[in-house]
Amino acid sequence: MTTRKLAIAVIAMCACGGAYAGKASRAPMKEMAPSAMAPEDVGPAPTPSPTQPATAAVSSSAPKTGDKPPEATPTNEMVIYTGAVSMIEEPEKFPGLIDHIIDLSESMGGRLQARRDNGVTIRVPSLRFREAMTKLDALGIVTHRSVSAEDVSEEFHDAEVQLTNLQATRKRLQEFLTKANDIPTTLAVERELERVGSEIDRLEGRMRFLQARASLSTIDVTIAEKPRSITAVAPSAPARPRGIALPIDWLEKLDADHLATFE
Amino acid sequence: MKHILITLALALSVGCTHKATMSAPTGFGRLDGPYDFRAVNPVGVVVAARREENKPRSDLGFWSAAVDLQLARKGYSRTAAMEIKSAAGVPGRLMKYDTGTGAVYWVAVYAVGAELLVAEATGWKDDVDANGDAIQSSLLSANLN
Repeated sequence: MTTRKLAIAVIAMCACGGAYAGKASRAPMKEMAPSAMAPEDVGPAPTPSPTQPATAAVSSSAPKTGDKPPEATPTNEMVIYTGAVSMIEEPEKFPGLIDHIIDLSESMGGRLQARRDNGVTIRVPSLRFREAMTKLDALGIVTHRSVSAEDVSEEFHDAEVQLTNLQATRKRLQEFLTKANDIPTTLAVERELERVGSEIDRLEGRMRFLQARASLSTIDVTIAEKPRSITAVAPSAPARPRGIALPIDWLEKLDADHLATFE
Repeated sequence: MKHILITLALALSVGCTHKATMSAPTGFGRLDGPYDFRAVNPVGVVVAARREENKPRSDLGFWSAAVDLQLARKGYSRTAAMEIKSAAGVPGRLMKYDTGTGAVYWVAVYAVGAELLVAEATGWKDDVDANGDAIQSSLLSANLN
């Protein structure tokens, strides 16, 4: 087989490997094996199968034979928590309350994300998300709260596997590039290296984004005006007479009780 | 002798005080006690009359308003008020109240120079209503003598 044919075969295999890696994490290894087979004449250097890194990645969290399944831990679960809290307060106290909420987030290792006239968005470490929601209760009157949790563990894991595969592919392409002895082959390998590099950059960016989102949870607090208290007045209640009682003794004794008392 | 008579007349006039009296309705029996006149019937309806000093000296409008306010402070609700004239021709004011406890209370006030004549009646509403005319006539019969 000529070098050019060999290059085409390797590039095709690489292109396939990148796309396949995303499924690799969920597919059984037996199904992955056929596509992972490398041509026998790729070269003397042992060419790693696109699925071999995936296997390593999967095995890092997969149970060993005979072992008990690992319990869910923060290390293999990546959950993005988002909380929404509605509070009520007197309008003149809005700024003070917002300051307290920001102080709370910073004291817990978080930070301010956005501030509005009637609310604030803070970020707090995910491990302290629940604690932050509880502490918000102590700052004012909470009228509504909601929490959503998005589990991105699988997406992150897939990206991780795909990244590992692409890194392996890039390494193979770089090795092959050193052996290319004609311009068309060199150009073809370089184009594929550029494509793989872009894909690696995209995956690394996505993983950084997921890690950041999962490490700091978001809490959005909206503050509404506290209703003014209304004093209920019974419409049928008789109005008390104005003025003060006259200092006249007999007037004090002027009523039905005195009249009907027989001593 | 003339000086003695003048002195006696002055002494009598200075020390002269009136007592209130009234005609009780039929079936009432007179009671002793702090009132100049007080009588009660078997079901507990009471009528009474007493004399008080017109002090601070004022007119019927003042005293009827003072009585009305005093009773309002005690939680009474006025149900009626009317200008009256006693059997002796003295103008006065009759006011009727619901005490809020099931009893009613009527009071007539007359201003007679330096004195006031106050006539009252009370009892359970049904009992008073049953003898309403007689009780009101009794209050109008109040007099100082």
